[in-house]
Amino acid sequence: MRGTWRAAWLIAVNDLRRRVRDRSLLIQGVLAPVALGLIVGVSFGGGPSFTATIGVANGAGESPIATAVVDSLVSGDASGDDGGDLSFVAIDAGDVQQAVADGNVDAAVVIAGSPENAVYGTQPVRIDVVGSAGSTLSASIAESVADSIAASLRTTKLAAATVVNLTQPSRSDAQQVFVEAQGVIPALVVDPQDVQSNFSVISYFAPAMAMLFLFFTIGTGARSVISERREGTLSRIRAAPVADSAVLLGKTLGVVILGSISLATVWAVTALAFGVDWGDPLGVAAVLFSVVIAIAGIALFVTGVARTENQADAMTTIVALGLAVLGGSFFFGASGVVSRLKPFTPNGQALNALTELSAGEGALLDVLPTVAVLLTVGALTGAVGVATLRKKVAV
Amino acid sequence: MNLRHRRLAVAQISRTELKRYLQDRIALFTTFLMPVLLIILIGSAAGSAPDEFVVGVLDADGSATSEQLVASLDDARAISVVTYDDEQELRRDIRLSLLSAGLVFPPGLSTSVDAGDEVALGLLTTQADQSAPSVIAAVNGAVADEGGRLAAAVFVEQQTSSSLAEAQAAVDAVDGSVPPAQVEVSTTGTARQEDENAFTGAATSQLTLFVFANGLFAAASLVESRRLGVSRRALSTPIGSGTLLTGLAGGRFSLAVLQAGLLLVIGALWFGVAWGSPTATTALVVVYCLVATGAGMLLGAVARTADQAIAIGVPLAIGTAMLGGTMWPLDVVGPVMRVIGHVMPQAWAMDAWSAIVNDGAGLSDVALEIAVLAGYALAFLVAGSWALQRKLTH
Repeated sequence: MRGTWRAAWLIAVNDLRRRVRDRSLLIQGVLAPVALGLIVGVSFGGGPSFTATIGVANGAGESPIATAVVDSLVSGDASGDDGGDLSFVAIDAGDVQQAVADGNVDAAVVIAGSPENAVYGTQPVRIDVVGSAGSTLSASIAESVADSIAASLRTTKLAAATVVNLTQPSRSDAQQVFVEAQGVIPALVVDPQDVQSNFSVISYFAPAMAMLFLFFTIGTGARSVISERREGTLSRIRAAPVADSAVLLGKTLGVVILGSISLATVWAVTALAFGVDWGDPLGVAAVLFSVVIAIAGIALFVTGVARTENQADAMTTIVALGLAVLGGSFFFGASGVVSRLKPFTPNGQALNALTELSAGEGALLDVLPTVAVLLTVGALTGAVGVATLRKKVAV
Repeated sequence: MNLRHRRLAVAQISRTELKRYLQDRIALFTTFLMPVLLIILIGSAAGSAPDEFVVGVLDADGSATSEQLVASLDDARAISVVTYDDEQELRRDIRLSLLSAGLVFPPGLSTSVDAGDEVALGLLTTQADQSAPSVIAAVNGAVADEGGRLAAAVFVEQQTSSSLAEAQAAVDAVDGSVPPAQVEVSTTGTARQEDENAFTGAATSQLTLFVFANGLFAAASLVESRRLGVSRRALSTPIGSGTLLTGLAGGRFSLAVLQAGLLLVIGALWFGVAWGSPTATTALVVVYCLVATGAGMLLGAVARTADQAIAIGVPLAIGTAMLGGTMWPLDVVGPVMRVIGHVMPQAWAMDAWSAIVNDGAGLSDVALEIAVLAGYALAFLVAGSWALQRKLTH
């Protein structure tokens, strides 16, 4: 048994030495994941850059309420509440269409009917929103601004009309009630917060890309069994007193060490050179190691099932790219289908766990279920792969 | 060799190159299947987003007021509510993109509202998520309505001798008779096809991404035939290096045109994309396929082994796609990244596509973009041919 392990170790070290000399490994294993992670990091470091200028117009003539609403928006009372860089400018009601069409403002809100008629009388509040067909996001934000204005006017109306209804005051007292009710503002405000204050997109995309390329590096290692059989080196090894199991163990050990070094280097480079916090080190190490096992298992399985080297190469690429697409390796924050399919892929499982760790919301214990799933996937697929490869070695 | 023979030789080499490439299963996957799969995934994800935001609500107050607020949020336009008991779970599901946002009602919400205080509701979003501003705006509008009703009741309680419960009942009675606000939305200009058909953006971006990527991947077979000496042997025949290089480029160009053409047809027939001006679309496709061909020739000349060509080609394809705005629109990144993005040919192609499919641009409207792409194509083809010729003859 000791002899088997010794032989396996020698085969693993020999494989590793040969692979490390190959520059492709350095590119796929370390440089590419770090560079692609950085591109995303620089692009989205501070969240998506969204800026919108909303024009506000008083289309109600000499209305004091409309004037007050426009002034309060333009003076900046309401800006910043919408998560983006939102600014308001006063525009003339007659110029609204032109201003939007010319792109001077991204969308506009026009207080169309007299707010006094709505607050004191029985007419509805009328606000028009003019958006550009080319910027639906700005139009929907302008619509929400209009909703807020309408809600505020409605608050005044409700407060004053109910008091008047209950107390039936004299005409002058009623007017006083309406004036006071204009100071009533909605009792609830929304306070936007970022759920991922510690989270860095680099810590998402760097491992996502590293996992994609891991399929290629590990796949090449696994395929070496087939190529060595073809080139005859495998027969020469078997001529020595080395068991087939030692050869396969050595090859598997080689790809696992290679994958672990690749992911650990990506982690170290992004953490040390770019200050990315991946979260609890024990948790990160456990997830990275278990995803290497899972990917190694899948790569061995694919290689075992394939009949020729070329077929193994084709199947590895298809599986790698397919899992990357379904596992959300190419898009962050994707809603819909991708967010549902993600947990069914090993890379998606690992990315979800790494997201939690990086957000500072989890430690080793929290990611243990993911680690268990990944190790099981690796063990099952790897076992089938090794069994089929064993037949190839023996032939 | 006369011109006719030379032409025949070029056609023969191109045909052989194309045939060899199409026999490769990975090639078929990355050429046709993967872009279509991505168009479906991206198109359906983008198409489902703006209709309704799923917002998780954690009601730590548990009062009649907060329950009423949950109900009115659920009724609001563009919002559908899922309730949570655990804030950790709520935060996790937002991070994992299962929710668009999370709203937390603090304990004591109803007591504070009853006392006439303003209450801040924490709205959790992922700032890196492009839809964050829209979801914040939608929740803001919905919360303001309910907040107004509550504030009005407190005012009534203060102004009359009613209890708060009586005041609320009175406000509710009046609420029914106040006509709803009329917020009318109109738009100027013609709608962008991208906004109306989510598959349009996905189809143009994946076409741009994969034609270039495939051009780079095709470098591997170039390196392989160089390494095996096939190209050198071809040079020993009387065809000459110019004919050989034109043939090699021709094969890659035909593949790019075949891929782009198929994606255009699938886009139109399956995803309902209207490709706009035929002359502008054809010019863009031809010039962009030349860019991809040139880039592949250059990589094929520089890489030493086929493995190295793939090792460089895949990350290069993904990296330039990210920078050039085919993985996300350049509108959502900062001005510096937008400028850097335009160092990539993809950004110019995306600008041209956007003008053609969204604004109905014709050939003259996208002349600048096509000229820039032609410049890239020329530079890549000249550099690639020169480097390849050196490798083959030295």
